[in-house]
Amino acid sequence: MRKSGVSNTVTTILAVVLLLIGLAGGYLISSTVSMSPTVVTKTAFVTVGGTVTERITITTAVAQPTGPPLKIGMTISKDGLFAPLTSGYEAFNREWLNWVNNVRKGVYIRELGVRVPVEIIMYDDRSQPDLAIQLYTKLATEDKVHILVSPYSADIGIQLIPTVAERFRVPMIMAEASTKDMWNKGYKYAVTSMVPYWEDNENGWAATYFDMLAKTKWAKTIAFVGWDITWAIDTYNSGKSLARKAGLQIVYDQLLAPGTTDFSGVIRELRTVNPDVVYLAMFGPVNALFIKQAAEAGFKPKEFHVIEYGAGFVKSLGPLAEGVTSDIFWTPSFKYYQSNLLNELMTKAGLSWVDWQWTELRMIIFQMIVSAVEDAGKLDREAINDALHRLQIMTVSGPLIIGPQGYGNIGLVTIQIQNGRIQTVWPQHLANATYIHP
Amino acid sequence: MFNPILVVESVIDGLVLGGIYTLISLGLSLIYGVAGVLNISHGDMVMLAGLLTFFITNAIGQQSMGITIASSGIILLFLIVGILLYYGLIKPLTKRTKQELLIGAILVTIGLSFIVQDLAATAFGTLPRSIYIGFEPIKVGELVVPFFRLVTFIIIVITANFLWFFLKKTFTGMAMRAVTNNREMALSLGIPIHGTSAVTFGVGAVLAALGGILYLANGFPITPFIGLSLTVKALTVIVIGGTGKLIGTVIGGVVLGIAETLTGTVISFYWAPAISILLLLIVLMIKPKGILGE
Repeated sequence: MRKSGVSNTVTTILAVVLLLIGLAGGYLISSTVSMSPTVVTKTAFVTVGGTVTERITITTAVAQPTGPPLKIGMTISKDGLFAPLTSGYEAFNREWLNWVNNVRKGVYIRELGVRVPVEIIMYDDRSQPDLAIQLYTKLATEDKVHILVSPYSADIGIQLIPTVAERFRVPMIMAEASTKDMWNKGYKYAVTSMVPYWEDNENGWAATYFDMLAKTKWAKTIAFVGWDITWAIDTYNSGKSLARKAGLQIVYDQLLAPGTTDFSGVIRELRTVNPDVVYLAMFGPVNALFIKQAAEAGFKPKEFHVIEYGAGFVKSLGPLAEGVTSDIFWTPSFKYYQSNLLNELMTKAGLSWVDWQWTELRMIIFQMIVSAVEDAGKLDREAINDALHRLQIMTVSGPLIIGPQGYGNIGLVTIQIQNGRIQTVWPQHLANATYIHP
Repeated sequence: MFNPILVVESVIDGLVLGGIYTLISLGLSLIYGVAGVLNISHGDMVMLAGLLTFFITNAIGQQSMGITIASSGIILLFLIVGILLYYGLIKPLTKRTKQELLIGAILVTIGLSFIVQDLAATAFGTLPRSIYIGFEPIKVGELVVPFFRLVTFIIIVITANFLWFFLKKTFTGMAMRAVTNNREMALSLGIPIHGTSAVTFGVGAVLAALGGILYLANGFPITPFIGLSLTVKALTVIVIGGTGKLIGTVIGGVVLGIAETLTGTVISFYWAPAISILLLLIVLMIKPKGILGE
């Protein structure tokens, strides 16, 4: 009887311990305080809404002899769907913070008459929208950050504006997250550097690509395949409109449920219509998957255009990546403000710009923050928000002007994968290679 | 527009996809039948085998050769892992009542699932991994079938027959069936319950591993977080086919595979992923014990 009782207790403890270890997961492995000569990273674990998650604070090791720090808050995804696309930003943030505090010597606050250091507080949102809302609420109310940077994805971002930015009156810069409904509802605390790419305007998503097709005239037919998520639909619809304007015939279009990874049926149908170009509006790794499955099924259109190629696209596709075209806000061939610095910081962070396609948006955001805070002259959310909304600065991707609705004018250029390298091919004044087409 | 060629290709695709579901589900079904354990981490075995195959294949460099070499090693590894899993985590729970064993094992395997996911994410990264074998598809008139789908179908048929032979003609297989049918009677006949259960875990892990390898080799992506959804898919197959009979699992897998691909071709690709839930609801309403359930 006693033996059975002991056995039960041992089994229960084993089950509970395994469950707890599992919930904490790999975080326990990385729960440390790491200190480089110049930057301190403090990692802690917090429970938010019943979920254990990671809190990472990056500060400068050598204390600045000045005022309170400028606090920037954001989440990144170290787990789940967006992890391959955003987890590297932690390292980039660390390198930028090192530069801004130790090389630039902080941000000048006119009201205090001194330069203050910058502090970045990050949480792991595990790609979960509900958790992201709770974490941004915590950043706004408990961590009392001065400015928020949105996570990846318009689907999460659109929920954060009313629930956090507007509610707590904290300026939020939308990073890789923008859609029409963010900017037509009169929100006052959200801005983005990006052009309204859901419209078929001249520097919207793939606009330079369709301009290139119109000028080169080789393509006659096009097919559209996309996931039914906000960003992909925006680029899918604007792409269709731009394709018609460019004189292309749309011979096939197919929206798929988010998460679809078996494309064999769609590929079969595409084979029967045989378009010149297949436009894929999905996340980079999913676009790569589609191209692989198409090759296995013997379907080879003259060209694939993908709206995203990051996260190992070129490496995973190998020769299949040759000739694929895509869109980006910046390439190393750009010679605008701090373009070399972006290159240098990415190298130090161990991020290849081939794999980390949107890091330029993070750089632009940091450029916006420094300019807006120095323009505001004080560490005050309202003043910083006002400054952000009248921002006119030079960025790594060219001049940025924030419009009255909160969005900017930074557009995209067309790149093509040639001999395993990513080359800028359109517009011609920014190109460093010639577009190769059938 | 209705295109008979597309429908035939969809059915072939469905058979292969259903075959992969069947392999994965058979492992889960065997473990549940013999050991009375609902192994929530079963899908993580699929994931782990897929990721290991990906990295071994990449290290070797040549895709088809890599898969062949990786498969043999991984299958042996998972046989051992399955047996150790039983002795290390499940056997201590068997002293409890049947119901407590079921709940306890669910908790333990959920914890294991989280651990495996996070370790896999730490070790292999979070990128979706898929491979491209590069064989030319087989063309018969207008009909086009990717070469490896055909290979997969042959592997699945051989595996299913081998499993049938193992269960019907070998002592261990007969012992597994005896334990499934009447545990107490099997015990009184001197059948080693723990040994039989451990081997079942090993066989289940091997089937999961084979499913993972074929899943990857057919161009589907594997991420560290895919395990739970595969376990749910396997459970759906078992419930549709009917618990208690392995042939039910085979039918459940094939029905689900063909339903998914035909839904895309005939109705809409948008709704193809949702068909498993609809199918499950229909089966539960019409035949609550599954297609072959008793």
